[in-house]
Amino acid sequence: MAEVELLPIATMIHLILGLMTIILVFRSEKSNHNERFAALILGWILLILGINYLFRTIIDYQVNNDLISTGEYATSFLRFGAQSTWVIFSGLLIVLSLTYPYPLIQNSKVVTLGCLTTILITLIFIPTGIVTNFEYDSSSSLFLLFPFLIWLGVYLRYLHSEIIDDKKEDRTISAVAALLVFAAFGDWLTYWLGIITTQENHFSSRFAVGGSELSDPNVINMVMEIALQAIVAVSIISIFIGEVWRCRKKGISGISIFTFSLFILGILWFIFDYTQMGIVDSCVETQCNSFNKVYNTYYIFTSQIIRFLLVPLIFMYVILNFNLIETGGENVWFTRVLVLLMLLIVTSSIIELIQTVLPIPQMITSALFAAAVVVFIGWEERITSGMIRQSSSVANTLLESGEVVDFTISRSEYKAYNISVGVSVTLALMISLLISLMGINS
Amino acid sequence: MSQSKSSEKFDGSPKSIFLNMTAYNEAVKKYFVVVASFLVVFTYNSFDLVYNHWELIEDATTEDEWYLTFNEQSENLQESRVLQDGEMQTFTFYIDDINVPDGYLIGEINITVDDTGNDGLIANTDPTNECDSILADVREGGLTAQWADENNTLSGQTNDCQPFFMYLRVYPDYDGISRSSDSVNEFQALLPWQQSGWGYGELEIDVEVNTDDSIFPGQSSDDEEITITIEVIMFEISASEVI
Repeated sequence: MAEVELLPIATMIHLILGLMTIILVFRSEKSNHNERFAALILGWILLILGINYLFRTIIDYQVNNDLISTGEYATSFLRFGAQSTWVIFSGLLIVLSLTYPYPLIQNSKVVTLGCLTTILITLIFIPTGIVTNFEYDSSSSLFLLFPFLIWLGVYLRYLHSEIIDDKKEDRTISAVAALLVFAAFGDWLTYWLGIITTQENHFSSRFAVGGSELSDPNVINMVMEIALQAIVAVSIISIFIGEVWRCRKKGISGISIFTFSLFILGILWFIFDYTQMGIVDSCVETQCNSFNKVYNTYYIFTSQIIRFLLVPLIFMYVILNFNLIETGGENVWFTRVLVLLMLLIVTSSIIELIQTVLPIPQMITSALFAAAVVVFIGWEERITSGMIRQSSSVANTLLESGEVVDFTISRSEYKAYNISVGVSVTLALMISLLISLMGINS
Repeated sequence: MSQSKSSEKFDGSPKSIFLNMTAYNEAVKKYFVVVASFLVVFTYNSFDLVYNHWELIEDATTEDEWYLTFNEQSENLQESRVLQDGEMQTFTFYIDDINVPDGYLIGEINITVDDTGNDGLIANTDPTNECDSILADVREGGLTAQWADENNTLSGQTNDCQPFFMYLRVYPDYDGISRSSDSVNEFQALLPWQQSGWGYGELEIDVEVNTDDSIFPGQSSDDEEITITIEVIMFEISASEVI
């Protein structure tokens, strides 16, 4: 139920932030070109996640109100649309990892490559996915091998240069790499111990059986999903070990605390999951039983909040704090609106979530929200400057140390990329709509 | 302490990018450990899935044919009363009092209304005797059962001195006949036959007697002994997979 409540909020957050980021990119003429391109990709990622959550919100509404049968849902445009946008999201992560924080292609060809990757993924994987009834939908998980291999490589490289050669400025790069890993794999982060101990396979089995009405379980697909799980588990453990090492040498940092929190959350999740194993296995052995209410609440307050609220916050933190776009000059008011909007939406959704669990009268939560609004407005400047306080640009750090070459991306190239992603999304939705109307895979 | 491999000027070429990324041997070694860890976690998780879960998933998503058989037991309740001419009485049977064995559920109730215990015997042997008229109605409600089932016989009457029978289906669709079912596992095949809550409460039967006067003096009576026998059929379900 609470997922249904969080999804519309997540939809709104992602759509607004995505749209505003893309607008800000085009208003940030003075930003480093590569970083501006990264911000553009991040804006599209947020926008596409927003579209994905919009579809899921409508699906949830229809399912909860018995407006759609399982058969209708199986061939519905909404299902195809949601799956298609997820494929594009995974594809954009490949392009982002090639670009930021360390550009692996250091010329404007990266834009052409980005356009081609996005369009090819759309044209190959989306129709194939729909026609095969998404029996191999986890194949898009394999796209995440790129960000995993690239970002962890960058993280380790710059963690070592910071610690071994005492290059303090290199922390910016390893921190961004770690944050992007967390944001990209946000869905699975809290299950790392379950994955390591194979406990997560019980859940995969449950979901395979539970979803068998929509598409038949497929061992190849499940193995590909395991690849994603392994990526996530190894990522968080690697970053955890890296941060422990860094804490010993350089002291604790915000990223370290965040990593440790996720690590501990994973241990707690493993224990909670273990208590539910009977229910998890019930789907395979007898019939699917519902999870414990407390367990569901814990799920909402950890995994769901990470997925729907924390992930966009991480993306926005990277965009604003690491100077991917211009936050000063004429963009100040725009940035302030962006930050305040983000904080207000997140605060209101958290207050509403608390209200669903604790019997707090609405008057009190309204007062709390009003207080938050007052604080945000009163300290608007302080909060905004706090968000963009560090303003340490990864590109500047790399340029100063001579580890990248400065290259330019023309305005027309940004536009071309914008058009190619826009066309990809439109194509994906049109393919979904047409195949849904023709009922090809029914 | 720098372990930088390259002293060449960085030119943004793939080679210089590669050299920059691999500038720290320690980092490269750890990177390979990370990749190896990924491969290890991926391999044993895949192995676990294929060998420990996949067969179960296939079983749980493939429908098999199951043959369902009912083992029945029954228990009788009986009550006799003498009713006067024109009198109506309600016979109440407390089904909750029945000792239902573990694993059994109440399936149906057969009701026999019998007036042969009194003048019925005489009537049966003496053709000159007139039979009394007996009417019985099972009162709806009171007992959790399939009151709207079309197979029920909830009322009856007799005036030929013969017992008559009524029937109430208690468990949904229960008829005691073995059948087959398509289900993914034994549990789900048995599931429709494991609902608790049926057969609780009391069964009330209204009985009315109208005695007939015999044309022969001394053979008529103003009362009638009515015996109602309730046969409660209980069942236990078992399933075997049809191979």
